[in-house]
Amino acid sequence: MSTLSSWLFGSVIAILGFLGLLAAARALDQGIEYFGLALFAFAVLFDFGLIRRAYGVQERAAEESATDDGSNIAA
Amino acid sequence: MTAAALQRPIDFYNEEVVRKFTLATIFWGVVAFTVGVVIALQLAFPELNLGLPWTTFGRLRPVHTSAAIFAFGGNALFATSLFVVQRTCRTPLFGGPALADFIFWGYQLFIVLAASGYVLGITEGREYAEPEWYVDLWLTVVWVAYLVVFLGTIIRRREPHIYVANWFYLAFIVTVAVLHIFNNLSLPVSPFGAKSYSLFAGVQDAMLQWWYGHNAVGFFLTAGFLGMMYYFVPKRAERPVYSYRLSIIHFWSLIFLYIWAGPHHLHYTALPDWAQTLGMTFSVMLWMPSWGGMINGVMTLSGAWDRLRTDPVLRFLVTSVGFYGMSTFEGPVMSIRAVNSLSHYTDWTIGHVHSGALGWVGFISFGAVYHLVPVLWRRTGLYSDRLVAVHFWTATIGIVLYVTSMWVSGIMQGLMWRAYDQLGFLQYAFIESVEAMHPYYILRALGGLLFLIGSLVMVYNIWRTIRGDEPVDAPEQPRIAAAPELRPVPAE
Repeated sequence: MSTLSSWLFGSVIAILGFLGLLAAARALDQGIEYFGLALFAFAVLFDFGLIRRAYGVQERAAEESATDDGSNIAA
Repeated sequence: MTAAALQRPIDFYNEEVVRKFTLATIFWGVVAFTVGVVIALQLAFPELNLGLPWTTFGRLRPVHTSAAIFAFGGNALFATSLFVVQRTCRTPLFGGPALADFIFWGYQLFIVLAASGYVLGITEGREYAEPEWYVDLWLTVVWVAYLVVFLGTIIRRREPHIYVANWFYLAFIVTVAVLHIFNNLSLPVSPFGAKSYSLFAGVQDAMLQWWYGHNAVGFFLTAGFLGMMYYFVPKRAERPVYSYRLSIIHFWSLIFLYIWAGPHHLHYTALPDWAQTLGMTFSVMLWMPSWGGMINGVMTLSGAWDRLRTDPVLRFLVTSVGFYGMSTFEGPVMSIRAVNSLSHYTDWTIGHVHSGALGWVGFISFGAVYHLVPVLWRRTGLYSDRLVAVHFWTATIGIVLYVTSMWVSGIMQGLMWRAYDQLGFLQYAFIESVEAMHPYYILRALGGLLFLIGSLVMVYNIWRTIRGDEPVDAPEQPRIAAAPELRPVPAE
């Protein structure tokens, strides 16, 4: 996934999380309240995961360029 | 293996998401089977409802059905479809790892929201479509992402031909989306409240519900798992599909006929007679493409029947096809109005559902999981082939107990409900038929318990395999059991 699409995807998820928080705040019953909070938690964790993946890709690329000897090909 | 394939980096395919879905399949399977045993025992011993709203049969039953169909079955379909589409298209997943992760975690969130809602009493009361409007919306978002990933991978494929398994998976994804959207059209009372009301009412609503309900069986539990069958049976048997032409005919006739079968759930209701007859007719015709698929799956073993004796994983796969044949004969028979007048609302329907769910869906999923785990975790084989055989026989005996007890109790219910004495009065009070069910409900719970025990044997076996323990019976495991790069070279 390119950097731009990661940013777009992460932003959409963040908006979903905000909508979840809004729903939880204005909820008339338990169902929507839990759904809103769950959506918020999902968005936070997923966006953290996107950030972790992006840094992980960078670090792996840096390691591979430092030690590349063509040995990562499947048998 | 071609030179081009040999040059692929080890992480060419997105196997991380397939591993996650495989583990989720096993986890939710155990949950579904456990809740099933609990509710089976509640029917035999009502005290087990515990007098609490969260543990009543009424709230736990949809937890079981949703966990079995959508959590266990759904995760198995996700795992296998995303594995098969990549391998048969020779292309990694479209959309990259982040979108695949979103599908995985989004689907698990859907499962948790639905199940927790049922326990809290939040339900639309529509069978197999119980989640309320906001959970339905979330599932729609996840499902669209799934369709984008699957279809995008096919469009970007490096293999010109689209293997038949992908046709079945795609039909499953697209049709389930249409079914889900139309059946769940509803108006929330408030955008900040859980309660909603269906856009439809009366017999029109019933017709829509059972168009959905039967096609949830037809496309989620049949077409999708036929996709699984068309990959894993020939793969495990190391034989070509018996007749590729038959698979094409089977596909088109199945997806055309299945859509019309829904009214067989509404015999002798307010649904107009012509609609009932239409559903019955198409249900009976459906026997043909279903058995076409069964024949194709079983006859793929042609020239390799001995492997049924030596490979318990293949035994799971082929037995599942046998149960598929059994259920797809029983179903059309039960769709006939006269037969349905006896079977409707009885335990015979439950027996039919479970021969399909445990025998077909369960066994094909177990076979696929057992095949996939060594491949995905790069192992030389499963920890123990013998434990697979223990699982197979325990589960099979469980299914036999379950199904036969429900056949007997179901037909007994139907006959008792319609029995008249010489004066023209009903012979039995309803409560007498309930009392007569008691021993069969205990047998059914025992059958389900054996099925659950088999699945726990699988959990142990898979855990030891993933942990990296060396197989205890490696020489007995077929060559195909190992990850491709670790397979022993066949002797010349």
